[in-house]
Amino acid sequence: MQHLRFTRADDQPADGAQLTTEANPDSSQLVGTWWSTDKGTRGIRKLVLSEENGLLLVRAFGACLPELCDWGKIVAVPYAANVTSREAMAFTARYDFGFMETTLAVYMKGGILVLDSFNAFKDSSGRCDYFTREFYHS
Amino acid sequence: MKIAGYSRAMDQYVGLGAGRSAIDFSPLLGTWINFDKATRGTARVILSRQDNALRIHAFGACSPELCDWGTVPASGFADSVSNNLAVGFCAVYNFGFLETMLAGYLNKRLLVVDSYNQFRDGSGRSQYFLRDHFYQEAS
Repeated sequence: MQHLRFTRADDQPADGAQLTTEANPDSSQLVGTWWSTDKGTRGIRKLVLSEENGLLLVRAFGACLPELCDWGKIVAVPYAANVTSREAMAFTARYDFGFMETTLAVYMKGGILVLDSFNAFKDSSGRCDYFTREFYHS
Repeated sequence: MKIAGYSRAMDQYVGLGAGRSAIDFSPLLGTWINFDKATRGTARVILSRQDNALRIHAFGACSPELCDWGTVPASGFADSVSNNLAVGFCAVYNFGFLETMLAGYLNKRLLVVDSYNQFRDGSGRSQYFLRDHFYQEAS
């Protein structure tokens, strides 16, 4: 039996558990359009998650006026709830806007998406790098 | 006046000084212990400051001793563009066979650390998400 390296007990599958050759967990429960539960948000108003050629893609929209700021579509990395689950319930993605980099770290709980964004400015505008936590429904 | 780039209303602020604003890491600093004594995930994290930079030293739940992940740089984040008090952090561990991104934030006096784990060893294990809750060890 192959010896599996680990950094904590959760890295190890239960005895007898089936592992897989599939690259990514199934993202179908994440796919769709997700709206902020805060209609007055000044953060991310909408997320569109889709699949193309076996990849999970995210397209985020920031709260701007008069129209939402379209952040464009990028590849996201899906995650399951444990090492033997094949169903994705979380994802990460990284946007580089030039003046700022935003890391999205998102998980699903009770049918709601919980999004943490970590925003690091690369310009000299004097703005502090900041964190947000937002919630989305489909 | 030059208009700074923005991706959403939250990015915008008028009246800040030029240059880069330093984040005050002090709310994050210290030793944080997992509430779940039987956790199989991240058991402990130590956040420290060295040369004005944030660093994290994490330990995984292993037996008979914790797995020492070593110390890596972390990035601190405030709760708005105009407030420099840290409320969150991000760090990446590259173990070779596994890459783990830690995304942590304060919730009142609790530290929540989400970990996003991608295996690189072809072992067939799913990339997976973990969520752990920590309290601060009394100094």
